[in-house]
Amino acid sequence: MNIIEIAPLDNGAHRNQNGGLSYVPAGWAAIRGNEELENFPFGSFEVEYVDGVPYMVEGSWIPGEMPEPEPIPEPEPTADEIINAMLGVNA
Amino acid sequence: MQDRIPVNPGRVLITPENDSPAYYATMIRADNPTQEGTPLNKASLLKDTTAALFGLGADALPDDALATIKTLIDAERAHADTKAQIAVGKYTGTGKFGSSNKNTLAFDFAPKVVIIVKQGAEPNSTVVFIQGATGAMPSKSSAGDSSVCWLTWSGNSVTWYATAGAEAQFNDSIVHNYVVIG
Repeated sequence: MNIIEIAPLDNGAHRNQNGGLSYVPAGWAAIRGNEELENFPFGSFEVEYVDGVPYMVEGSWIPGEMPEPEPIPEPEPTADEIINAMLGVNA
Repeated sequence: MQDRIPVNPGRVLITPENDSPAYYATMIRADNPTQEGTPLNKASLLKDTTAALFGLGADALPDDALATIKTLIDAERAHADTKAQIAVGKYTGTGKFGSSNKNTLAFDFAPKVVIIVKQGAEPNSTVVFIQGATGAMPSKSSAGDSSVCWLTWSGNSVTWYATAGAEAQFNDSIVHNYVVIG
């Protein structure tokens, strides 16, 4: 089953999963078919309930803007690097 | 199971309701069937050889055989539940990372091993989560030890995050394929 979290993250993306789960968790919706969704998972969509199960309304996907990748933080210095810095030794 | 073995086949005792003396008669079906049909007897319901296949004796009834079948089905079902299960799937990363933006994959069974491979990355980076482990190191990473994926296992799901970026968390905005074994 192809599922998508209904609430977007702060960057407009939706958590999603396709395979390994046969039910729709709370807060998620099922996606019918194999329609290619532009800029997936960045976008918005409408939800409809069929027999109590939430589904993404077909054709309701509005592609969002794909943000630039978030900057990767500088890695923490290793213990050796800290000691070398304290000793004034260049690695 | 045993067939009835009459000394006088078809013989019945008729007792009139008007107090007349009872008398014997021989009853023969005279309905002119277009098809004789299958007789209800030992040969059609439960032969000794069939009963033996279930470990039952010659005196077993069809109901005993049905009960044995149900027991065997239950045992096989319990055994099947102990066999390894496998599922495959994919997700597209959201570009987020860190402990406040964890990834979660949920399954129909408790995962023991989850293998995630980035689709299209060259060479493909892979990470293997093993049930009970608190962390996993991707096969290819430019961020060194800080690219560890920190794991939380709960029932039928696994949750993880990394602090070294969305790529290290296997949550960059590309398709990630996974195989789960439970």
